[in-house]
Amino acid sequence: MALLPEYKKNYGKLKNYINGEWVEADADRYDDVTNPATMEVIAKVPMTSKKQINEAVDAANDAWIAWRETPPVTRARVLFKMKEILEQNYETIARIMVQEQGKTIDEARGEARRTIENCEVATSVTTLQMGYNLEDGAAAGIDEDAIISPLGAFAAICPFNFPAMIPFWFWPYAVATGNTYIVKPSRQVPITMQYITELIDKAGFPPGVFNMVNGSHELADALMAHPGIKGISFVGSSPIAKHVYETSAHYGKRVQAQGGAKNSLVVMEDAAMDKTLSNSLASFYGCAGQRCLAGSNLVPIGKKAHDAIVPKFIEASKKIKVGYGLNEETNMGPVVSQAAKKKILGYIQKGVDEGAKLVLDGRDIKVKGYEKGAFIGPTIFENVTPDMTIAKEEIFGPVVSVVEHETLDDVIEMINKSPFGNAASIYTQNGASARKFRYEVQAGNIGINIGIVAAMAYFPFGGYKDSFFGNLHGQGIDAINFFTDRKVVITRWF
Amino acid sequence: MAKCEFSGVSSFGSLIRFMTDFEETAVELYQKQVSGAAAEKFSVFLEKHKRRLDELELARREKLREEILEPVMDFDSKKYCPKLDISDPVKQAIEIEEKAAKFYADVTPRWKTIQGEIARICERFAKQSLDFAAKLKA
Repeated sequence: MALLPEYKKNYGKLKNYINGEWVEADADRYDDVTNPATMEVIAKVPMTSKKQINEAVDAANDAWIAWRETPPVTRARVLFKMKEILEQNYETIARIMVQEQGKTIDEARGEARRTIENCEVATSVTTLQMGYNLEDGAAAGIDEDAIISPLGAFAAICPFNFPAMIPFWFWPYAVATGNTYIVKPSRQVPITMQYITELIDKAGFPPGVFNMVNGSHELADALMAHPGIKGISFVGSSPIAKHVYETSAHYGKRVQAQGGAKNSLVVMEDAAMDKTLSNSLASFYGCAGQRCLAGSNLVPIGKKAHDAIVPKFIEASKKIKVGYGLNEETNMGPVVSQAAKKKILGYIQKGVDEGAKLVLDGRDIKVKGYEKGAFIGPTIFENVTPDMTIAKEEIFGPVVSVVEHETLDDVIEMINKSPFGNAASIYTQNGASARKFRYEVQAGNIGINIGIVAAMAYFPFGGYKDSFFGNLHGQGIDAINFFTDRKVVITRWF
Repeated sequence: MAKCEFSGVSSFGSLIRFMTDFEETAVELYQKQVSGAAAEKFSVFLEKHKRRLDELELARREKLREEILEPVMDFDSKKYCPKLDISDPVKQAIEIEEKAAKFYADVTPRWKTIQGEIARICERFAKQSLDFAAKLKA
């Protein structure tokens, strides 16, 4: 099959978007943005100075009062327009993501859809932001109201794995509720948000309501410390999520910081094995394992379950088509960079060194026409014990550890001992096993016969333990609550 | 039209692409000028296949979910490729509709486990193509 065309070969020097204007970055350094399939440089991203971030924060704060006073129904209309523009550019957004991030076109289209869905949910702000009241709520003749109010300027520090969707977990809800916003995209994948910001510019937001600034962790630190920012939303690894939580809290901000994961997919002997097989493949190899909902440990309970799933899983893994994501037949693209590949290869070596049995080795995969790309083929270890590094740590690559257990109690204990609590899935046809699993497992996203537990835009994207720092998650009602506060008014008239 | 060059099928996107390849082939054929009783049928079927294409494009955009992005394995798409070198347009249309009906019917159970909405579309397309083939033969 022919490749789908790239939107552009090269996107040049990227800019910042501040106060409704595209501005040259105040930066002493530009980093390369690389297509991980070809390793060609496709853009240069500025490492913006702290001085310029002050301009963005000032713009967001200057815009806030007028935007807050804009009726919610009018704010919603801008988001309706935004949704329409995103629909018109759906395919382009998806293809840019493939180009800079490496995921397959199917995965990118799925992400573009979720991006739009968050915009759709945020358009319901007239209902979602409605307060409540009680006549005579305080005493006879004294009424009590709770008003749901915006707070000011917020910011998001975004990761590399979902360049379009993750900013949209936050900013549409923030601006819908009357706040203003600054997005800092990942410096590894800044082109998608650059393109989407061009679309935001056409939607009709007043200057300063939405701003986008490119940069490094120094810029992120500046946002966390800035007195003009009310709250920070973050997605990334757990150590950095903890740093963001502690630093932002130190400066008196609201924080929602999504961290890493180590997700187990448990297979009972009564599972519908064929369906379990195809669904679990999607979980382990989707986005080349680079998502916080990816399966990492495959856990059959008992020999019968092992023999029913593991040999077939290994055979099916060999058939996964690895290649450039702009070919629609590709099942798995490259990882995001050579540095990411090196890190994953390090984990594979660690698995070998610690005594796990490498039954499928994806390290030396050659993808015809893309020999320089950051590809790793499906990789499977058997005889993995829970104390091994590959069973415990987040690998963030297409590496499967088969960890065997004899009872469901044992595997729940293993999952609950992990510092991570992002997602866990069980494949079974037994309701009691499924119920026990969803009740006892300490994770924010539970799958029952589903290996990718990706909350829809109208549900919160959860996470327990070190997988999430904060209390209110991204998306849906949680996002509305994160970006607003309650003002209680008690009224008496004489 | 000569050789069938429909895409291979190994993923959600390529399966949808295979379906749109089918529909585009039918649209191309029904755009041909034919005379006699077939002319009206060609005109009606052309519009139907255009609508089917629109429906598939919508499915590609809106029915795709991360949860169900499973690899499609062991699917021999070649056996559904219609012969495209039949000189009589009506006979050519019958060949396309019958192959389409077979393809959509066979693919329906596969979609049922992945995406029920698309399974329903395939079920409907299969019946419709069978009906078109019967009308072309009549």
